[in-house]
Amino acid sequence: MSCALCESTALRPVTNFCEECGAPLRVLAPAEPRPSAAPRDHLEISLEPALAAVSDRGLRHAHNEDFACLDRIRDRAVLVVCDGVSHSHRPAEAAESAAIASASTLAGGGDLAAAIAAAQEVVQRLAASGEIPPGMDPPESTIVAGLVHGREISLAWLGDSRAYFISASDPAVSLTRDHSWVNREVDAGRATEEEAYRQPEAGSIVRTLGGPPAEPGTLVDPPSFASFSAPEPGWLLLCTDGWWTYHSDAALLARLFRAAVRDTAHSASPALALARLLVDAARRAGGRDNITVAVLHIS
Amino acid sequence: MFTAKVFQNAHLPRGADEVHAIVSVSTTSETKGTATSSGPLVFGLMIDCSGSMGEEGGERLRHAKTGVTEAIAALRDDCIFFVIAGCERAELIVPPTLALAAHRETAREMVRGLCAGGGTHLSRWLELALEQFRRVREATPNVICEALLLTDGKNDRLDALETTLAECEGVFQCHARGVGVDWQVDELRRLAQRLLGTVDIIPEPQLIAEDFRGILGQALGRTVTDVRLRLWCPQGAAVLFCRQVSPELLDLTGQSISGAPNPQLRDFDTGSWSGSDTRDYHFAIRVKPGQLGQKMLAGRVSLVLGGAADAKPLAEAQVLAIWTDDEERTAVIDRTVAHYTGQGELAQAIQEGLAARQSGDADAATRKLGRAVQLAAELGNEGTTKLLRRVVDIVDEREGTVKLRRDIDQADAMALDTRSTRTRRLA
Repeated sequence: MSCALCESTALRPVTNFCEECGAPLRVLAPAEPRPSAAPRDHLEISLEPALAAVSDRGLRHAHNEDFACLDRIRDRAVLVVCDGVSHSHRPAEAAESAAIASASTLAGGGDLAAAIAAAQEVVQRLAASGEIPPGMDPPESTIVAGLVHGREISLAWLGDSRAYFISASDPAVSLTRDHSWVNREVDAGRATEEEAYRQPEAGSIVRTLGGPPAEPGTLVDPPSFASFSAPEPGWLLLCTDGWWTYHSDAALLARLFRAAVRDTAHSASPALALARLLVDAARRAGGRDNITVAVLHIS
Repeated sequence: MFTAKVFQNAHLPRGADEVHAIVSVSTTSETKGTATSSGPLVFGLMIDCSGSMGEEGGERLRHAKTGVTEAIAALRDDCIFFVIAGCERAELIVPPTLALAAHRETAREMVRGLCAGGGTHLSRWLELALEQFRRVREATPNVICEALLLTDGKNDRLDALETTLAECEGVFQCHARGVGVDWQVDELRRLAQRLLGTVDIIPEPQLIAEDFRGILGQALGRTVTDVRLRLWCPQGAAVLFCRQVSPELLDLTGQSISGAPNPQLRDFDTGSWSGSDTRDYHFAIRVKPGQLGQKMLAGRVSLVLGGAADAKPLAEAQVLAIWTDDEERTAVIDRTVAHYTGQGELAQAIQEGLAARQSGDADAATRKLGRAVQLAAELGNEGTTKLLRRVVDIVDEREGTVKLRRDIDQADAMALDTRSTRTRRLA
C-alpha cells in the first residue's frame, strides 16, 4: 500500500495521514474495499518498540494474502491480523480491507463487535463490487482482532487465525479457539478429535468474514469473543495459520518465542526484531503458506 | 528393551512436601524385533572454516578434514550424511547423500577442497543443518538424526542462536567440539545441552580424528529414536525440577513438551538410545502433604516412543510418598539421591570457581574450587580430581584447602569446565 499523493510506503495503515507527506489517506472511513494493493510480499509495521507486525508471502505461495494492522489509541493497543482465504475471489484485498476497517473502527473508539461488523461490511462491499468468476467463492478472510488495555486483553475472531499469551515460564496460553470443522464436530459431540482429523473436511474452516452465504437465514457468521487478564508480564501474539501450523505444541511454541525474545532483547526495536525472527522460523520450517505475526509486549 | 528402576526414600516426616527420586533407565539389546527400532542414521558434520582454522600453518583445518573423511569412511552403507562448511555463512559442501562407496569418494574430494576464511556465525550453520535434517525426515520418517559441530572460535556476531536452537530441538541432536582455547565453553555447552549432545575440548588438532571416531561410534550404536520421558503427577503437584544426572548433567526442567491433552502429563525429549544405554534422572516433585500414615503416588515416570497421548509405555516406574513419624525412616537420605545431589553440587562448584578465577576474584575461586576438591574426593570422582590438580595445588583434600596455581594452561581450565557436567555412577 502506498500514499496516493507521494507514493511513499511509509504508512501506518490505520492512521489517517501519510507519514511522509501528511496527505490524508483515502482508504479510511467510510470503509471502502481496498483497490488492488501495491506489491506487499513482505510487510513490516513497527509502531512502537513493544508493538510490531510482520507479514510475509512465505516460500510456496505466489502472493501474500495475509494482512496486519496496528494502532494505539490513548492507552489502548490495537492489533488485527487477517488471512484471505485462497480459494476465494480477491483474497488479498479482502484481508487488507477487513484489517484496516476493523483496526480503524477500534482506533476510532469502537468496540470489537463494531470492528468485526465493519470488517464484514467491507468484505461484502468488495464482493458486490464486481463479478465473481465461476467456481470461485466470494471474497473471504479470517480475522483476529485484539484490544489491549494494560493487562486486559479483549479479542474477537472468525476463522483460524489465533491469539496466544506467552509469559516467562508457562506454556503458551491459547486465547482463541479456531472455527474449524474439527472443533465444530468435536463440540457438537459428533466425533472425537482423532476421528474428526481423519475426515477429508478436517482442514476446513467453518466461520469467516465473507465467503459463501453462512447458515440459511443468516447474513454473516457470528464472531467469537474472549477476554483474558494477563496474570504477569508477557507477550500477546496474533498469528495466521501459516505461522502456528509449525508451532502447534503450546510448550514448544512458548520456548521458541522466549528464545526469540532473548535474542532480540537488545535490539533498538525489540518487537519488530522479534516478529521478524518468528516469521523467519516459519519460513525455515517450510513456509508453505503466507505467514503473519503481530506482537505486543505486556508489562 | 527398556527397564526403569527407582531409588528414593519414600518416607517423609509430618508436613514435608518435597519428594526426590532417581529413576534409572537402561536398555538391553532387542530380543526379537519389537517395534521400537528406528530407521538409519543421518549424520551431519558442521566444520568451522573461519580464518583462524587456517592460521599457524593450517593445522586445524587439515586435521579437521582428516577427521571428516575418516568419519565418513566409518559410516555404514545405509547411513545418510552431509557436510557443512561454516564461517559467517554456511555452505553445504556435501548435500544429504547415501553413504555408498562412490558417494564417499566424491565427498572426500569436496572436503579436500575446503579452505579457511571469514568469521563464525553458528546459527547459520545450524539453520542449514536443520534444513537438511527436515528434508531427509520428510522423505524418510523415523531416521536417527545426529550432528557434530566443530569450531575453534566463538560466535562473532550478535545473532539468533537461542531461536535457532529452539527450532532445532526435537529435530536433531548435536555434539559440540571446540578445538584450541579460543572458543567459549558456555556457548558450546548451551548448544550441546539444548540439542541433547555432548561438549568437549579438543586441545590439539591432532586429536580431532580420534574424537570424531568416538562420536561416530556412539551415533552408529543408536537403535531407537524419539524416546520421551513422560512424567505424570497428581493434581496440584508441581515439578520442582527434572534433571538427567548420568552420564552427564542436563537440566530438562524448562524443556518439557506439553503432554496434551492431559495437563498432568509432561514429556521430556531424550533423543535416541543405543541397545546398552543407562541414563539416570533426578525428579523433585512438590505435593500436598498427606496425613501421617498416608501413602500416595507422587509421580509416575514412563518411557514412550513419540508424543502420542496414548503411547504404550516401554517401561514405567513409580515415585511414592509415605508420611510417617518414624524418624529412623525419614532421616535416611537415599544413597543414590545423595550421590547425584553431590554430583550436581560438584559441577556447580567447578563452574563457579572457574568463573570467579576468570573475573579475578581469587578468594571466591579458592573457596569454590576447594569445595570441588573436597566433593570430588568424597564422591570418588577421580578423573575430576586429576583435572582439578592442574588448576589448583591441593593442600588438604578432606578439608578442601587449596591454593590457586599461578601459571595454568588455559586448555586445562577449559577441560575441567567442559567435563564438569560428566558424572560418576554409583557402583
